[in-house]
Amino acid sequence: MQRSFTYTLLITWLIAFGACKTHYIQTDANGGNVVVSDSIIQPDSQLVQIYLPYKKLLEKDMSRVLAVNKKEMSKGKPESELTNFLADLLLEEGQKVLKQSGKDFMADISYFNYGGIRTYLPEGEITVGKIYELMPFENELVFLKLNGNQIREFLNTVASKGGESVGGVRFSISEGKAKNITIGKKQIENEKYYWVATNNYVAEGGDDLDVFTQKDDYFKPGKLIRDIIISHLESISEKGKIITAQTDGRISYE
Amino acid sequence: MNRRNFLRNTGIGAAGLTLGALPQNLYAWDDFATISILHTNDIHTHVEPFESSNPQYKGNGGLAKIAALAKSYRQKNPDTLLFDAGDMFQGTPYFNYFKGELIFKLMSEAGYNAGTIGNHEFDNGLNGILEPLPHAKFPLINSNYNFSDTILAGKFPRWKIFRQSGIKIGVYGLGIALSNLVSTTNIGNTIYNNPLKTALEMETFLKNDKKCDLVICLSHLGLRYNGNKISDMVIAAETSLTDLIIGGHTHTFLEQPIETKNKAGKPIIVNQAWWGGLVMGQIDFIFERNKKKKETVFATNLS
Repeated sequence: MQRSFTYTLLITWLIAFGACKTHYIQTDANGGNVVVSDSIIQPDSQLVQIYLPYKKLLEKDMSRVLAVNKKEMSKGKPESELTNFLADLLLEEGQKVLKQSGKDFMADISYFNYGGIRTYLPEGEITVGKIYELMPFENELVFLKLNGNQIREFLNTVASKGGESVGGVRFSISEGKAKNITIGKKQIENEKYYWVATNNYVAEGGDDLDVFTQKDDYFKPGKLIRDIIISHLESISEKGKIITAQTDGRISYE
Repeated sequence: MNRRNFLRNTGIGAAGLTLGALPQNLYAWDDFATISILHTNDIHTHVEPFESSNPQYKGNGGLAKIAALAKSYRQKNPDTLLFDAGDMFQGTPYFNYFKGELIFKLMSEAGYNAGTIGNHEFDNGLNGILEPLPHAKFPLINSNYNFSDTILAGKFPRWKIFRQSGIKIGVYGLGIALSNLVSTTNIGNTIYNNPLKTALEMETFLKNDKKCDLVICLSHLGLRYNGNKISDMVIAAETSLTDLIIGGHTHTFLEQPIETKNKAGKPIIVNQAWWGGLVMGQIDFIFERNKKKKETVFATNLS
């Protein structure tokens, strides 16, 4: 599937810039874009030989089943089973990390940027490979200390996007802003400090979350988000449970 | 008028003009040289073809097929150069598990002559580029990032000249603004310089000072944007000495390379090859040896 195009270069240009200085003159250009379809060519055997040992290592681990999912989870707005499942998981695992690290505070809110959730979770067996598809980035867990006003600004950004993946907090969206915010079942207090568990990408201001860079304090324990998800799913299986999630009205429209 | 027909007709017409008006029997074949430029972008560590279960791309693409295609082109024409416009990293577990090592090894075996740096090359930080770099047997050319205050100082040439059958092909590279795409930790002390200013400097240097016959830009800026964000189309319109821009980042599928006019009103080609090795761009530049009063001959042809 190759198309051809051609043009002729203007000679004035050649005379002005190159012709008298060089041995060659460009007279023509042809080309096209080759669509690399299934049938056009077979993979290069030397390349395959190089990656085959890597592939074997990978397949062994990628096909490992972590847990069983009761029902397909897809991401959606303002909330969805998948966005709620991930945020709740982050909050729960975040508390464990803080405890293990000897910290004297708890995480109040958890947050994933919607765009960072890259696929859905199918019904049935969830493999390591599926979690790599879900979270391909090497993002790390970060805790951010923000005051109530800053939390409000953060949730306004979430509201302006029509809702994202949040845990530990409930609010309604009215005219693109977050209203009636409750954190841990209590009304938000403007001067109080709260801890948000999230990833380093947004913690550094990604996805319009400049407010996160104004944090009062932070803690970065050096754990990959993907590893946290994998160990959470493993612990569900070890308890003999399967994965479920619900929408619960944590983000609603007024 | 149908664009495709227009291009096809132009192709035949132009071939008639150049070859027909200059009868080939007057010139020995070695008076002609064809430089074949092959290119990819945004491979995203898709080393294998896409899975046969993938509804959109089943069995297509992947570096292993690009390698086979490139090798077959090179067999037909040794004056073939293979380039990549960045984002080799991130996208399959091959990257998560083996970092940059495997993709660099495979691109080296595929015969890449050069690549440039995409934003995802920063995904594991500056050390994530440094560590696997010895596996890349081809240079990563970048002209507008300044790494001098980082561990990557001196690791990437700003330009490189390839010589094929006596023809000099100068290549420079442009990277995208990192601040909105890459975490600040991963950027470190890398400095991003204005791509257009860099392009103007590099093309003048390569064509006028180094006397290159062909100047190619490897860009990870993206094809075009709404608004005035810098892109390949902006570089094409604002430069005067660059002949070809090989682009990436926007994962654009183009049925044909784009022909447009540069600042001097002269033709420039801009191309991009989708992503994941699903397309390989191919541009042939045909050169004719400049004997005696060749420019007069050409001037006559055009009149």
